[in-house]
Amino acid sequence: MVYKRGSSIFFSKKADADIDLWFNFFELMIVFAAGITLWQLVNDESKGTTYDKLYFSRDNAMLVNTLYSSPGDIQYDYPEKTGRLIFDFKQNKIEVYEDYEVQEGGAISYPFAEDKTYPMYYGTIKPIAADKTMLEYSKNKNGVIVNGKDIH
Amino acid sequence: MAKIFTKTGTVSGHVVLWIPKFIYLIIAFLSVIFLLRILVVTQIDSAEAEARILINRLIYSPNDISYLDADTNRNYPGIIDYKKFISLENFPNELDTKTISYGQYTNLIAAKLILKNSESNKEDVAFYNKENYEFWEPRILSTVKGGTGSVKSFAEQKYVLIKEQNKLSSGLLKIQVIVRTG
Repeated sequence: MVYKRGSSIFFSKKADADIDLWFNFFELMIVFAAGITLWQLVNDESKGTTYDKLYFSRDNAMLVNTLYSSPGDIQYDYPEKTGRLIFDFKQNKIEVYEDYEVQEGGAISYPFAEDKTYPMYYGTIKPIAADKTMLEYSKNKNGVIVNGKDIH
Repeated sequence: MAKIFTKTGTVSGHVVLWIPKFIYLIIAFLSVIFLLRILVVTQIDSAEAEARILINRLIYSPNDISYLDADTNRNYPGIIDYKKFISLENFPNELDTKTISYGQYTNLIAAKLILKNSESNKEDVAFYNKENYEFWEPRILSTVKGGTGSVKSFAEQKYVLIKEQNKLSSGLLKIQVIVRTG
């Protein structure tokens, strides 16, 4: 049997060792690629803000519901650091997202029940400084008002 | 099978031997992803907190069922305004449309309120989000197929005073809240 020169890499006498080497190299490449992909996945999960957005949207929606249940006027500083997250107060829902997610659709929202006898603040609270912004709620006869506040 | 040990069969032999390794790699890869998905919390169960907040809102808010003195504008959370309570028998009532309005997100929470007058033994029933309450109520029973898991139920009862015109009488307010979880 006559082999062309190019194929001799697989069928020459020393081909067995070469093939072993190539396959070992190929295996290492695949394991390396799988390892990198898994590392990337774990890293993305650890740096992700999905849980933060879930937590903050729900917690603040329940806080608004609680404010409505108070019989009198109330002022409340939300104690959690909200980091770089943006809070969008819309009709019947609070939407939480990071700046770049407006287009990417990564916003997470949670509904709250409005009491229409009090006007509700609709607007966006943007972070003043990372890890230094907190939300300030107040409810009186003029309605429910939310402001961003700088923690000194 | 013996062909894989010949020179011509060396490559295909390696490929055949490589198949189980590849399968093990895929299993290990998927296992890590599975563990990651299991360990990373993306679901928060706040059903009980939401139910308790709604119960407190019904009792303490001046605009719901408690008595509000129009002259002093003072709210009396332990006193139920019977006139307000009776007006809630219709659907949709003021709770649904005005004072606890979820707007388009009505499929989250519902409640049934039973006010029993201890002196006359008369019972009055009102609903918050009646349509969904009646739809979800059978699902709180474990025997209903496809029921448990999709909703959770929480109940609370409070001894109250019932103000009917100028008369105060003692009574019991039972509130059952159903929260949709799924």
